[in-house]
Amino acid sequence: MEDSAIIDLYWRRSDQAISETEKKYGKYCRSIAYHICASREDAEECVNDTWFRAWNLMPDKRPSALSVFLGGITRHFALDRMKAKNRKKRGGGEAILALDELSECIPDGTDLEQSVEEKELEHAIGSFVARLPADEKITFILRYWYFVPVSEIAARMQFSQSKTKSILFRVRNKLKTYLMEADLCQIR
Amino acid sequence: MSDSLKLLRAMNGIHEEDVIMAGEIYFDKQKTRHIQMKRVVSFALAAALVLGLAVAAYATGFFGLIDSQMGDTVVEYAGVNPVSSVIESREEIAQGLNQVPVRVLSLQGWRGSPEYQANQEWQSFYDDYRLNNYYGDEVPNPALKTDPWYEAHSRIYPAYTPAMKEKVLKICEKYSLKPLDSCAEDIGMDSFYHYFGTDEVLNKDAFAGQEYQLVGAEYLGYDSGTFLLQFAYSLDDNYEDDNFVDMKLNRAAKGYFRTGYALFAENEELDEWEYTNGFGDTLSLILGKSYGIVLYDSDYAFVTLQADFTFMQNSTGETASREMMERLADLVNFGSLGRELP
Repeated sequence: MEDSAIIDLYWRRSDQAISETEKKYGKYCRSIAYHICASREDAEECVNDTWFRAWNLMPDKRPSALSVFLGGITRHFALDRMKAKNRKKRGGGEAILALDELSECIPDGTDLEQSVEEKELEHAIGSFVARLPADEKITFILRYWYFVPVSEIAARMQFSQSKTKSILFRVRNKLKTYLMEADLCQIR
Repeated sequence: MSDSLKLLRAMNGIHEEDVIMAGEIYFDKQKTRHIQMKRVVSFALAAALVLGLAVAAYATGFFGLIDSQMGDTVVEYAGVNPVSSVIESREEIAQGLNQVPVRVLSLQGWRGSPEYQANQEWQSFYDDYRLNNYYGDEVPNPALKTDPWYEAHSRIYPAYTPAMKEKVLKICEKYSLKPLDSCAEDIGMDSFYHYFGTDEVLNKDAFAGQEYQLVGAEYLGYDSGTFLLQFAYSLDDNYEDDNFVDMKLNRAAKGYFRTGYALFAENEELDEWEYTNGFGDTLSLILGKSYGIVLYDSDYAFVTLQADFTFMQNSTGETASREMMERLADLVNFGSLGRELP
């Protein structure tokens, strides 16, 4: 079913909306959640939460890209779950590794500017990624949006793992410079 | 941790079209950056066609493209062109697989050597076998569960049916080559030097200031010092990250059968010349638009260094040059790699 038809089902408050979403995007959202949580049960709960949240957001929202809209919600729930788990020192999937990697993007002796609004940071990241060359862009998004393991990115992009790691390393360095130049970090 | 998490959450600001493009590469197998061999036009025919030219090359004492070319073929791809690295638009990706004619170069030895001939015969068989539905053989084959040879050689030869295994062994017998029987894989130069038995491989001075390029170096090490080592190198004097080149250093020990090759676009104009590097090694250099290769032959090994300039070109707009290739050729102690190993 076309995305627009699925969105129409939500707007008409039809029960079929959830089943059609599950059919089309269940595997996609589960994959994102599983990469973050590393637990099938947690991933399943994140996906169920995603359907529930989507049901509550539409209407009034009419997403322009349903996959990104649903994937973004799944990311949100999965990161929350990962954070809670991490507090209890349990488990954690690719997101834990991604967190470690991204800590390199915060220059030593600085913090992300506390006053920076979430939306402002999102806007900055969006502009930064949009300007990356295609190979860097795809590799970076697969790692930090979809939380795909390096080995899988390498296989899918037909890169060596070493090349994949090099690309990620370089983009993180660029991001570090970008955050400094955009005044998004403050001296501790 | 909290700052990193904030950054991770802020990835939600990545533009929808970018998220979709990356997602298509990952989630839709039809749209992956998957390179699949379509058909071998004719390895044997191409080799015959260049034979006359080869005589002239031997006469001058310079070995290069003609002497390493195994033939032409067509590669199917979706997403990224394997020889130009041009990335297709989403609309182009959605249209399905494209084809690109390529030249295939040997990484095993000059034309006429048993290692070259063995690899050429394998490639012809391999492509024909797969294109013709594995000649009716079952894939995956039940023999994988009963014969430990397949598991033991899974990282060495792309052989996963009895016909493929038999072909590997027959080729070894026909060309009096030994099969490779072991393979180790690891990351880091210390591990690599330990495997190879010496650290006289790279010009360490050339890496001063950018040793981190070698941190992620990874290798596959086979019997008798046959290996593939992958690393990166920045051509910028200030080690700007935008200028790094991806490198593959191959050593194919003489007397062993190994598969694999390098690709250039079929219609690409290639520059080739002889160069003596800082270690005093006489080398053959070949350079295309985005890829280059250094070839070195000795009594004990055929050594190649492949350079992939696409990342640098995408980042800086610079084009690969002879001077760049020569700097890269200076990185490797080919003579040391060509020695007989204890």
